[in-house]
Amino acid sequence: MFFLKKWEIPLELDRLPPDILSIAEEKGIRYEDILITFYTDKNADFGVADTYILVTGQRLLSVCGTRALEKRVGRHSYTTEHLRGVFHIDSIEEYALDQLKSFRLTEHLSGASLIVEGEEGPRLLAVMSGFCKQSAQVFVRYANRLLKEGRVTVDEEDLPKNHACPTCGMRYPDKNRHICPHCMKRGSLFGRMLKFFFKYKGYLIVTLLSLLAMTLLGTLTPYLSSGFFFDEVLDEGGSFYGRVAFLLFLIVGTRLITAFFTMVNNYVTSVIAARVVYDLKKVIFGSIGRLSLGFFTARQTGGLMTQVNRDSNTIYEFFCDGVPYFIVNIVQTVVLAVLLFVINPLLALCSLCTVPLFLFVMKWLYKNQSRLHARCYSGSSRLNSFLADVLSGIRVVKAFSREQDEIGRFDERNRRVAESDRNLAVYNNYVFPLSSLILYAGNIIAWAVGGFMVMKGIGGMTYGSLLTFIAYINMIYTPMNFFVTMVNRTADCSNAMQRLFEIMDARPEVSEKENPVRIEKFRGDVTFREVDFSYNKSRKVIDSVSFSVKAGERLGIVGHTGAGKSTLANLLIRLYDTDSGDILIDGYSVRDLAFEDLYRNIAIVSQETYLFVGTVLDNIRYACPDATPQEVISAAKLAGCHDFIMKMPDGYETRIGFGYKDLSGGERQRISIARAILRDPKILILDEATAAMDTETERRIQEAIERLTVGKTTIMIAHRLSTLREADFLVVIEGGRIAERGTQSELLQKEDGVYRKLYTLQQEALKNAGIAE
Amino acid sequence: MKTEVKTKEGVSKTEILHLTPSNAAFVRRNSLLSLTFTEEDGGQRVEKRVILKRAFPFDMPWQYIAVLDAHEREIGMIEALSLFDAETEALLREELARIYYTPKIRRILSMKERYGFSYWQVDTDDGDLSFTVQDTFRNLLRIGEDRLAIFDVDGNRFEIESLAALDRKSYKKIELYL
Repeated sequence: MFFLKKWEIPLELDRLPPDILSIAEEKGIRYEDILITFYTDKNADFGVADTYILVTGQRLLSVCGTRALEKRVGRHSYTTEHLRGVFHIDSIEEYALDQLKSFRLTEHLSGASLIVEGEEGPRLLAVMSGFCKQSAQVFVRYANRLLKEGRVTVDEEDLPKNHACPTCGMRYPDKNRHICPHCMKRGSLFGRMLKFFFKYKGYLIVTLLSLLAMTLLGTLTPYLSSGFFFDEVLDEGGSFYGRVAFLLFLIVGTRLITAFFTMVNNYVTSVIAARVVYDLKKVIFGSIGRLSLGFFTARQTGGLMTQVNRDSNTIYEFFCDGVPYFIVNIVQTVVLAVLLFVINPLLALCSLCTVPLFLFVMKWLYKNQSRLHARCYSGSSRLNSFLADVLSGIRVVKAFSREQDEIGRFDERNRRVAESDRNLAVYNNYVFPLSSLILYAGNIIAWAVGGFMVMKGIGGMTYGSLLTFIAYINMIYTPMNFFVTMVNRTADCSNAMQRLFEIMDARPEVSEKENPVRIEKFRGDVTFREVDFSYNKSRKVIDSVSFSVKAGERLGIVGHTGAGKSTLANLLIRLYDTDSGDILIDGYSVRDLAFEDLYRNIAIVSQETYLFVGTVLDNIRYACPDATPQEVISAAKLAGCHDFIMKMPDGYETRIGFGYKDLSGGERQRISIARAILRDPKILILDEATAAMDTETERRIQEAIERLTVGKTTIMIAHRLSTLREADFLVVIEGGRIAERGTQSELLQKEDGVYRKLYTLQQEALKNAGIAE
Repeated sequence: MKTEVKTKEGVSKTEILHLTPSNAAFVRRNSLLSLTFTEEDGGQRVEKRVILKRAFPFDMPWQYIAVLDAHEREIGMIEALSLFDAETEALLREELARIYYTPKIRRILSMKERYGFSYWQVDTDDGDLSFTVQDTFRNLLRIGEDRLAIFDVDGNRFEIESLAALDRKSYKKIELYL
């Protein structure tokens, strides 16, 4: 970028300034030998400082000091700021790599410490704020690899990336898409949206034309009823003197035509409104369905949908309401201004001088009003969330008899909402009428100056033209009001569009291969080959796990909560993709298989069951909607849920869902098992499927599962060992790795084995409860 | 019967183990805090690096401090720093101040919200800083009535110690998010 043309450091987490390089050279380090460079923004005492660390194949050098900088920017690693300024050295430390054992990062509340484990114990190497934490994680990973393997091979992915726009320094909303909405041309955003509205262009043109007609007729009316009436009809010299009936005809006529256009406009607007919003939501929901699970875990899904709803309305209102009115208002303003100047240029100049003042004051008033609005909004949403919280926990509140305290807390929030509501109401009722005084000032000037002109006969002013003038002056302020709000609406709309495009453009992390392998029916061989996986790069959840299950076998996966068992299931059905290693089904990588085949052949019954709002029948048939009633009933019988379904008032057509008030955990679970049975998959995953049930029910379901799993590859995940009695062989997972494997009896024979320990613990628990097995 | 005894022992073991001047000695080694702990049976345990963790960081920052070993397993708890002699107390306070280091915001120079991020420029006790917060509403945490913690995208934490004491201009910039 600047002082060296080609930089050859393999892992350059941060760029080193020339003065640091010369310090390194004094210590006998040539820069060809440097493998890793890293920078932190604090010293050991957490003071603001600059610490540079460089690592070669043999040595580690840490230079700590302070650089005289005018301004410190948060994210040093991505700016060139720390390369300038005079550097004052505080300390230089040097380590031989062969005396170091490992590096480790300890995270603090805000920031982290880099610790190196040496021969004579741990040692603090560097301290940093959160700004350097991400690259510190990469540093630790590679430095440890260097200690172990003696070399550094860098993945492209780990090289430092700039997550902020280089032009304005703002963060990219989407880390994966380097588009800065601030620097991006607004025009292209609106252009893209306009394309969306293009298919409605007929409607839009009709709206625009009818609005224009309304405006022009609107400007005609005051002229007819004042200027024309007084000067041409009532005045003796007028060309239509005395023809009152003709005038009435004209006035009524324009009113009628105006009414016609208003009706046309309203009709078109209501038709187009529904269709545009429908289209927008359809497109967005379509894109949402396409996205991988990762997208949803990164955002709040509930909030997502309300946001989509609100955004599509904002966009609709802007394009179908805002834009046409904007055009119309511009036309109206120009027409009115021209008319005013035609009537009397001097008078127009005098009375329009209040317009800039009016615009300025209105903008300020709206700003304050929106502040008050937001205060009301946040107050009432806080009140609502408090209510929701307390009401859903009402059993606890009552059990600890805390009703009075909760009433008190409610009262406090309620009072705050009432106060902000009152402030807003007061503001609206007092301030806006006052602001119209400014508007009135224009009027008064017109009356005064105009009146004077009529009396003296200056500039050919007549009584009638003065009246027309004043009517027009009043009309010109309406668009002004609109223009002020239009600024905010444009900003709102571009934000909304930005958010929607973000969803539409987000690329799914897991995607189907272009020409996937199609297999109608799987045999059911499953192989995990050295699978690594992490949800975020820093902590491996699955660490080189390999095992294989032959078609028709039953595999049990045991382990503590959080050991990574469910993650294995998620990887098999490709909710996520592996970081490295491969998962094979019938010898094909899951990445090569078609999604359709994958999902048709694998069914999962998990610890979180989800039943949709609808009938029991719909829920059981969810996976294959064309199942016959016969099949549904036998699946339900197999899963052991037929009996309780028949006890419900409407049998299989009882409506369930929404909080599942009417179903217990075990019942829900059994319905989801029936769902899986109906699917008749070749591979069945039972992820803690019976965890929510009592022993009695579990035993019954075990029998059902036994019948169900004949001829199917079954992967059973559990922490309760009784669930795994039927497994052909077991894999014990601990901390993401396979700790043990073998058949149940093999594992029990292992002294000190994890499985044996778990088994004895659970046996003891049963004994204590008086249930010896 | 045997198992029952076991459970009781388990309960007594889960009671708080207090670290006091009589059983714990803290020193700084290699810029890290280390602990020599005398067990009940007189055995000595040396931890070359211990980590301090506050149980009630807001209400009782100098009381109920857990002492963890390098693998973040709890060794014991310090009920109050004041139990130790002045030198050790200063050492522990210093270590806590490091771990719980948070820049205190004195003035908000500018705060702009755009596309789901807010961009801050603030004056702190650590100099001028700029940082970015995603989803502003959810990353401002009210602590009690008057204190505010702010979390940025890089995992930094900033604090406004007293909202009431904040100047009016700064307050107006964040008012909507409170």
